[in-house]
Amino acid sequence: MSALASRAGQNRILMIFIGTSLALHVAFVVVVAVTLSWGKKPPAPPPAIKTRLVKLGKQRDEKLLPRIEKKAPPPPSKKSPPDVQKDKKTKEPTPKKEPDKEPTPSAMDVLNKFKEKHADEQDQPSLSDLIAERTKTTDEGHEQGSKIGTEVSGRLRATYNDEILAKMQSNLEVPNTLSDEERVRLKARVFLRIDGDGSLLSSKVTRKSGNPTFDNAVLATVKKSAPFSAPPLTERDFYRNGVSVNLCPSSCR
Amino acid sequence: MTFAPPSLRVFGLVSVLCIGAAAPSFAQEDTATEDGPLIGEVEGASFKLFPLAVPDIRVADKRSDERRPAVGITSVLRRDLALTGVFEVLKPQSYLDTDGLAKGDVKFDDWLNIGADGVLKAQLTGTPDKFTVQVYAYQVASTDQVLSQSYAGTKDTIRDVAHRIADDVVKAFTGLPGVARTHIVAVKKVAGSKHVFIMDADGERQRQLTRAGTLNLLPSWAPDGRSVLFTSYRYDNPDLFEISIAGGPARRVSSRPGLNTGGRISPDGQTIALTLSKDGNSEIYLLDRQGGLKKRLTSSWGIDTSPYFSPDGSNIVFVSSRAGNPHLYRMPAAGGKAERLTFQGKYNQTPAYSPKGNKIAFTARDEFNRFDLFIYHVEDGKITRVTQDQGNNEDPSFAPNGNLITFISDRTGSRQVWIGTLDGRFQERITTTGRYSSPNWGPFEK
Repeated sequence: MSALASRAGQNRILMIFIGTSLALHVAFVVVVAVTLSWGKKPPAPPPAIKTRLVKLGKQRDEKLLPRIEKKAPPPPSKKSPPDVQKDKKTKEPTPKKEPDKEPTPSAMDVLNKFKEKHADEQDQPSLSDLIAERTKTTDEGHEQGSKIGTEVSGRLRATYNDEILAKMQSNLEVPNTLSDEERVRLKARVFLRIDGDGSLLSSKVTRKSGNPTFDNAVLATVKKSAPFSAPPLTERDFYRNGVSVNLCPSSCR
Repeated sequence: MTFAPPSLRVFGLVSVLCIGAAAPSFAQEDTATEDGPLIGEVEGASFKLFPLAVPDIRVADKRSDERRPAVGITSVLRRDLALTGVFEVLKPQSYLDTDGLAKGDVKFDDWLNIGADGVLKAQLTGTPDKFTVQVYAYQVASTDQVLSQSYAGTKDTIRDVAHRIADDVVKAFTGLPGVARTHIVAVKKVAGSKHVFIMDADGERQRQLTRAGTLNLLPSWAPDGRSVLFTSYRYDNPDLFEISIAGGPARRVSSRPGLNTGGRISPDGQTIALTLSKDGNSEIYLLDRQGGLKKRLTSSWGIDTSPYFSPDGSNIVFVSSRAGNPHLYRMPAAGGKAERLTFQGKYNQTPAYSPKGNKIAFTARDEFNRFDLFIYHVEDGKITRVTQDQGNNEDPSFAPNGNLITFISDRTGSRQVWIGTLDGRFQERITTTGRYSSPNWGPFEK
């Protein structure tokens, strides 16, 4: 009996201990929480910002007279003043311009890709072989056919063509004396020969537009765009022999 | 005057190629291949003023008195060309100008390097009292010679020679006639009075046409360019007068009771359209050149005013308040139903037809109560704006080549005569002193 009573007493003491402990813990947590929350100021309401849509989506009243759209100021020109004393041949080649569209692989990318593709071939040509082969062409071509093929040279040319066309496009400026009808209709073809270092060997309007001022502007565009970057090594003869470009004030189609 | 025809230009090109070593490195090189594979198309040009180099006119004798006409002509010529709204005359400080005048001696690459698309080369020979100026004009990139012409002049005709050269240069490069030799009439305030003045198209050589009366207004040219209509209060009533630009007294054309204002002579020179209020309300009437009444054109409760003949004389544009506010209307010159042209804005006035008749310039008050210039496009009825946020701009009048308009602007603080292009991108003040109103650009010199 005494053992049972002693056991019950122990349990009661244990329960009291646990209860007290719980109460103390709860009290501690409450005190900590109250203390923490006491020092914190309630978040200030966000400042009221009154806005009004001024332009977006709002049509100008048709009964009002039209207003001239203000264009954003052009970015500061990076062009340095022309140095009339500077010899044309001492000019630094213009850095390659990044095309706006999908990035086009460079000439070296194309060559590297070609080499990877043909890595398992026993007679894999080295870069120098490729160049040598390309430069070794005769009037009758290669007896075994070219290992480069037309695809690679075509892509090399396409890359370089994009580059020189983009440069000419950025320089295509036409006097505002052209009538609206001429701006739509005019089209001139210019023939240009580019040396191995990218300098302009010659340029000539081969199909005149019918407007001498525009033809002059076309030639000026080509000459202002020179020097170009150096053509791909394997394509230098192609550009030295000359290529043609159509130029139009608005659209060539 | 000789504008090199294409065949001559080709011949000139071949000549330059044949010059060989003497030719500039920039000249065309002969190539075995005339054409190559087409690699693409370049389109979408930006439009700009034509950059033109106008170096000093050279003189054989470099004494100061010999140089005077050359300096004078060069100065007027540069200003004329800058006022065309076509050319950007490049700063002379950038010129090397160490080359010759003839095509084979011109260093085209030097001119290309300073950004010139065209270059003028000229030399004056003779004495300051009587001289000749030989002028050459070249397209720089193509090395084409587009003008080779000599001009005789005297010390009293320096400005005239410069104007003639400027007009020929415009014609050579653009195919359009220049307006440097035309004149503008405008009303100028002089010591409390307002008088009609005539001036060169660059604002220089002003001459007072009217002397009598204190209020002379609304001048407009006769189509032959020999006389000017204007309204004057010299007899205490706004009467219509005509005065010869050569001088002499003004002739009273219409002195009916009330308004006799805003007279315009028809393109055939036979009829005058004007506003009369002899019957109480302001209406548009037609008179013969002697002032005899031909016809009443309008009959509305509103005020009808500011008639302006179309270039073919078939219709008249005018201002009417019949819809409540002043707007532009058009009606057949022979009479008939008036058609309302403008529906935008609340105060449209002073219409002026372009020489081709495809545009009507007018003044309108915008929603900020500023007066600005607008163009009504006859073909589609659209309205485009010429001036904006540049003070008040009023009273447009087309240059006879249709490329420029003259107008009044107070953007500098006083009402001055300005000229500008129809897109408003080029605007230049041509008067600096006095106060002006109602400029009217005269026809080509005949």
